[in-house]
Amino acid sequence: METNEIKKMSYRDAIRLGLTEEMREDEEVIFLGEDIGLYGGAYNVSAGMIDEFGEARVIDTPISEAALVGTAVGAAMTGLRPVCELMNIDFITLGMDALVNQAAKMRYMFGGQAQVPLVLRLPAGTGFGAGAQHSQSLEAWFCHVPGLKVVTPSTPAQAKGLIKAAIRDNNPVCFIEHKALYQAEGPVPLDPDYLVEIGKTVIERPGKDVTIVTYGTLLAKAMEAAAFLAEEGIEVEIINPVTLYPMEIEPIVESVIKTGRLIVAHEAPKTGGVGGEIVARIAESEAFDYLNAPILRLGGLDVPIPYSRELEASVVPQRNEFVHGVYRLLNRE
Amino acid sequence: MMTKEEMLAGAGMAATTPDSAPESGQVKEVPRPLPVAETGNSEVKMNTATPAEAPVESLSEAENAQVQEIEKKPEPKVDPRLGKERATPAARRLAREHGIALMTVPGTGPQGRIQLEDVRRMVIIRPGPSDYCSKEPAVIGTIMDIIEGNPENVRTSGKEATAVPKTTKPPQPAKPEEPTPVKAEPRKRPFKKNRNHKSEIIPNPELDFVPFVEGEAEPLREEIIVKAVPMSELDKTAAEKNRPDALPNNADLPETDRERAEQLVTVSLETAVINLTTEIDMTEVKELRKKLAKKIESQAHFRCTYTDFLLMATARALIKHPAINSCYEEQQIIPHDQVHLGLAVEGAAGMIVPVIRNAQDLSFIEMVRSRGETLKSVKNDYLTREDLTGSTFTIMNLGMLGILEFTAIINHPNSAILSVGEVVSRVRVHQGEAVVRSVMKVTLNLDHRVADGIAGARFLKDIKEDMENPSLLLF
Amino acid sequence: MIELSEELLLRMYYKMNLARSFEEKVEELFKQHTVDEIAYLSRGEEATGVIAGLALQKGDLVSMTHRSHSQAIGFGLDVNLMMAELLGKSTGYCRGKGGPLHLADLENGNLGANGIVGGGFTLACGAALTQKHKKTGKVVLCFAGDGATNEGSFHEALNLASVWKLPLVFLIENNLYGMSTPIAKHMHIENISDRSTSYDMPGITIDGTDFLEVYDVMTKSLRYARAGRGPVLVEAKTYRYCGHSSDDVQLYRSKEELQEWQKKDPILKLKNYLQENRVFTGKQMETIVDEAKSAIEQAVEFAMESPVPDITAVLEDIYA
Repeated sequence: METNEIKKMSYRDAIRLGLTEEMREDEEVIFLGEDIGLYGGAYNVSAGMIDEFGEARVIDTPISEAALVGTAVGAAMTGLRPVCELMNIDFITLGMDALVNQAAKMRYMFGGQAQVPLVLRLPAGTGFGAGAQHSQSLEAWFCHVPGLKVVTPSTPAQAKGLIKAAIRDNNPVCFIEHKALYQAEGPVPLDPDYLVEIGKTVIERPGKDVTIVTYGTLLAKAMEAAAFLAEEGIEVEIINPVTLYPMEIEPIVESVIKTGRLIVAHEAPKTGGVGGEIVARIAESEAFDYLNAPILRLGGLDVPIPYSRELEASVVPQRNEFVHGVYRLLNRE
Repeated sequence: MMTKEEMLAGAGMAATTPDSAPESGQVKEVPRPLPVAETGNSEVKMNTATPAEAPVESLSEAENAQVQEIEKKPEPKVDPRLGKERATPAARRLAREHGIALMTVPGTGPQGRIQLEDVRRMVIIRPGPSDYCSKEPAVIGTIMDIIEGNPENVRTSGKEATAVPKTTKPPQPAKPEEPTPVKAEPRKRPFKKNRNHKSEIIPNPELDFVPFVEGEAEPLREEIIVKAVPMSELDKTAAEKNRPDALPNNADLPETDRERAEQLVTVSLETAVINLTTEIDMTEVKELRKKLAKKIESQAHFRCTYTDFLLMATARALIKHPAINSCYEEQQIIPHDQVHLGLAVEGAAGMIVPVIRNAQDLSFIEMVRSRGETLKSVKNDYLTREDLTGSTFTIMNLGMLGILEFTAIINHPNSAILSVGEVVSRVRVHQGEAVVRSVMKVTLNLDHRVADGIAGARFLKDIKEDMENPSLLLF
Repeated sequence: MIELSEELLLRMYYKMNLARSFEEKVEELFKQHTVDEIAYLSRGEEATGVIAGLALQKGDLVSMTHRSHSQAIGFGLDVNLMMAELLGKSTGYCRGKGGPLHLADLENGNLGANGIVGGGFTLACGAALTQKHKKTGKVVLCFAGDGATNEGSFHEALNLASVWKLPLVFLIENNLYGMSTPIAKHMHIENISDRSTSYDMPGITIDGTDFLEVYDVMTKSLRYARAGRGPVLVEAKTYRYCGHSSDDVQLYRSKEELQEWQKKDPILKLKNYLQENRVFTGKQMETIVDEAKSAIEQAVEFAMESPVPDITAVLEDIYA
């Protein structure tokens, strides 16, 4: 049913809506996770779903991530379309073999015989004082495994569109959610066929002076910084890759050619992060000849996430770092 | 000098030379301590060989080459930054497209990085068809420079002076996207006689600057205005963005004349000034400068002047005598870690004091460049408030106007000022004989509250000694 | 004792010899450097793979180990395509991109050999979940070695399979060595099937060299699982004559032990059974063996003549 309605809802509700719609559409979509049934999910994403779909399709698993991910992979190989929720992205370490050595490789090493339409939902990020083992952002790991797709929504609309696109995609997709964004609200199209295309970079805000590439919780901070800078007449262009792997780099190249200045920012630790990959690609591209300032990366500090709230906030980039970064690139400080 | 055998053994080369294996066909009489060696087993562990005892016959070529490698002394480390320009890729591209040599572009970015805006500016104002030569004053205000042949203290183009018309030329189409370059045409200007045939014809060099606005253009130098573009059409360059309070004229200084006058009185009343004079023999400086002028100019892109030597000597002396590099405030002497030298010069609207920062850290070349750029900024009128404040010590030179020695008023909040007089030729006793030497008087006007006469004298003595042995200032 | 039809016995004998010849041929090719990659040979433990495979119904799925050739032949994979895959040719099962470690035929239900020890347990659980969800009535057979039962995934899979009552049978080929470590050094229990009690599922230990016992127990287990009564753990004690991989010089076990087990050779046992019960004549049995050998020869020919994959294949099939 086509509809042009747009409703304001939270990121969390948007994910649930997208997931529910896909499960209604296709009997083969099943949902596995720990405590997703009556409990409604650790972050309340699956609240109420078991009532609609029953135990056969909203399946509580024991606390065995290796079995959880492995079972999801096996089911995906044999004809189901499982959506698998890990309580925190940090726990993927327990299921890495099934994801990296099995899911990512099946199609290729079997010469095209297999298809693994798996979605792995991975809540990530800081902001709750959850400590070092429950606050990481590990997207860079998955970006280093050919065969996977890595996507991350930064707004409620993207959350709904992307989860649907991920479920419809025939490949293993790491769907990285940001815990700090769960209650963020935004307009969401109610059209059940509204999809956010995987592999398409989005220009969130056009500008002309500095290009900022960012995603996740930092997108909102970058937007705030942009509003602040606009008052001084500095127009920054903000780009959200949405799909981290395989990333569409051309819009970023074009943007850097236009502005000559680039800031890449993410919450994950700077060293070995996705930002480095983006910067390298820009340096390798035509945009190199149009760079008018060194490229700046903003990233989390290379530390495990500390518990105390103030310390935790100091680990990840904040709005002021964007502002100062822009000033620096414009030689104003 | 080790023997080849010793070197081979020491470098572990014996284990890797192709010669060690019997299959190579060379007879090697190197004894191997392991018993297996007698069977000629080539897989024996070779790093236990002791070739030093046996005569080594017919080393292979490879071995010889390795030996020569060891004998060669390690090359002195060369800083890879020398001879390279810092420039952004965008700037490089534009420079490439317009055939502008990067070393001719002044960089306004951090650490002198050349940015796109700097090259853009050059596309509008380009040097003439002649080879690029530095165009800033060779010397600030000493008679010697006039004698040397730079009467107007201006840039030299290294070419015969030719006449030029007054107005700008109509642009000729060259590159579609950038302002188009214009061909140079001979100027028709009155020729000012001077001894240096290389000098330029500039009537009023100190106050010259190249305007950005069409219609007011007065191309007083042999520069080509490629395309005069009205301010409104120019892309706002980063330099302009960076200097929101860029002073179009020095008239916006906070001190009005009245304020300035009052401050002079305050300084005179509050400080306890003593004046110490010494005479510096400038002959060595003169000769050294003559010898090195070309080399320094090629590296620093500005001509070397006596002032540069004096700046270096002063900076050094201030580091050695921190009391003089201090300021007296609220009954406390506050020494400064850095030396920021103010250079009192004549600007468009009177005397101004631009500051050369961190003079103690600058090498000679950097000092030349720094001083050159500062004075160029004075000429072209793009100084900011920051450039005019923050000095810790000031130098003022009235020598070009014939003053032999004088007393200057200390530039608040410094504690001292060096008054430099004219460089003149006088007969002096030098190494027992009466000879003509170039000499210059400098006076230190020092606030006694921070240092006494003895300290001041020592300070001056250090300057004098450095100036009279100037080769040491070059490093 | 169950009754085995002649046809079934014929297939058993043929396939076991096929498996033996295959392994011998691969060993030969390896010595000639035609096959450069490491191969994991299962000479001596053919019975478990082949017979269990024969107990499957059409449509059942299987997840294999790295020592997969007998299992694959038992399941019914084509030796021509298998040999081509070993030689890295484009006609192989995986178009030359998997090699012997990743033989698979997903269309027919073979979930593939797995290079990760213990990697197949949870995959089998997933496949079984699909069968249960779609109510296909099929069972998944998961092969594993004794070493794999020490992996965490074994225990997680057994727990999950038991809790969800998945149609899944685990067949552990206990050949007494995890790579080079004798079993006493890597587990304290005598029988791996004892572990099933922790997960509340039936566990049986059998003689893996006895074709009859294997066939009997496997058929019953599969029936049990198919009926929806939950998973079964079967442990088959067997032995491999060759090293862990083709470059294993086997310093870790004695020649006497090898000779002991060779007396219990599964093909020999079947041969004796067939002879004693006069199921086939000596001539017929010879023919069967010869046919098996020639099938392998043909497979090698096929593989040798097959083309090497085109270089563009490197970038294909990353994403569906």
